[in-house]
Amino acid sequence: MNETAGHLPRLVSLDAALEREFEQAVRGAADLAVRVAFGVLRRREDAEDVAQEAFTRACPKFRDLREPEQFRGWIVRVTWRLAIDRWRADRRRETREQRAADEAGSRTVEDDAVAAERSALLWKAVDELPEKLRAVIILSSLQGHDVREVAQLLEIPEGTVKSRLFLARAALAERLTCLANDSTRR
Amino acid sequence: MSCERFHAALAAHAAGGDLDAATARHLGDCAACRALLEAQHGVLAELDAELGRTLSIAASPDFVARIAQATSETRSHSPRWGFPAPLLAGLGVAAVVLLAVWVRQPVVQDQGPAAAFRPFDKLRGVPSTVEGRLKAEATQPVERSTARATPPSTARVASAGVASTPVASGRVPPVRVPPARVASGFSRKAVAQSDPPVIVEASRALALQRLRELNAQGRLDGKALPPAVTPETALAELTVAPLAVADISIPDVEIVNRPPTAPQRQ
Repeated sequence: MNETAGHLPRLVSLDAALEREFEQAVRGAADLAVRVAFGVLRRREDAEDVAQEAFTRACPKFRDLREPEQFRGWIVRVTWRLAIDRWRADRRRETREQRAADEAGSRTVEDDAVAAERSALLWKAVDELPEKLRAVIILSSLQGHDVREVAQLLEIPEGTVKSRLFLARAALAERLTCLANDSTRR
Repeated sequence: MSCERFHAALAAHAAGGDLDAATARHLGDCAACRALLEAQHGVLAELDAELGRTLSIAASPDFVARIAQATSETRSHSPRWGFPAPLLAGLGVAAVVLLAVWVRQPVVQDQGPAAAFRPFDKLRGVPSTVEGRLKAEATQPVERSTARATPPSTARVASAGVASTPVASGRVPPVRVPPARVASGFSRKAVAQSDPPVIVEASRALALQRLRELNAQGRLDGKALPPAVTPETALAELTVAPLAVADISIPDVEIVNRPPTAPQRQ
């Protein structure tokens, strides 16, 4: 019985050590996950909900994700996927709500400030990008994330990151110019 | 000259790409395209600033605590960093089903002359202690001496619980005993056929009968028990008894201590 009692504390401490390790990993990747989600959803509550969901999914898999870079990359990819899914669902819902609001004549576009309108234009252009280009643009805009870091997070070659980044910026330059011209004409 | 065909090249140049010769010449001639290129540089710079500002958001101070609480609640309802509960439940059910099938599977016995000389079949169900063997033999049905090929020098054992007839001339007559208790789902015939007959020598049958009587009286203890019989020794006991071979006499052959002579013809 003493031998059994002597084994149990080791098992408990191993689990506790893993919990502490997971908590440290969460602290190290919390801001990153929230920023990735916010880049898609642009609402703090929604972004944190999505990031929390990603970490909850990571918990049972943490034994295979104990390498910090591996964990961060996994969190970024899962958060991105969850955020995109939620964004599409919100768009479908907002489209229905907007249609209903238009019919009711309650649009308030004229009330938006110039800066907010400008910001909305910029993000509209980003949202219209293909998903792969959008991911690269958002991740490369995060502080401290160069091409090498983005390649590690997305598990793609650096050359692919560079080419996608180039294509994304070229598409945005063209699209934003059109949008800017359309807004000045109105 | 239409400038639209240069817009894509201008956008690529604004994004950091090289400028081809034709576009470069056109830029030198077209002020509108130069203005467009300038505007594209401006919007990209504005985009970089907007992205950098928006994406510098930090998680709420209680975000990590919420994660810890959510994950601890999840772990309390599932195995810790192990297999998910549904998988464990499925494995448990599968193990129970396999065990039930294995336990209920009837033992298939060959019913032929060779069955009588298969000691391991008998020993497979024999417990290590004599007392356990007595109990095991008490539940085994005994077959009558039929036309089955059995060595004439052996005799069948009488099961416990039946009054035995007096032994005469070293032979224990076979006795019919009630069949053993049958587990649910099995027929008595199936049990009788699955239990192999116990074949022992006459002297040993007498000893076993005596041990049963002592056990029934509660007088059997460890000191009275004979030493335990291992499968190897039991096999040796079963196979040691030599066959009784009648002497062979060859007529007209005389073994004498004299030189051989020519055989006499009759």
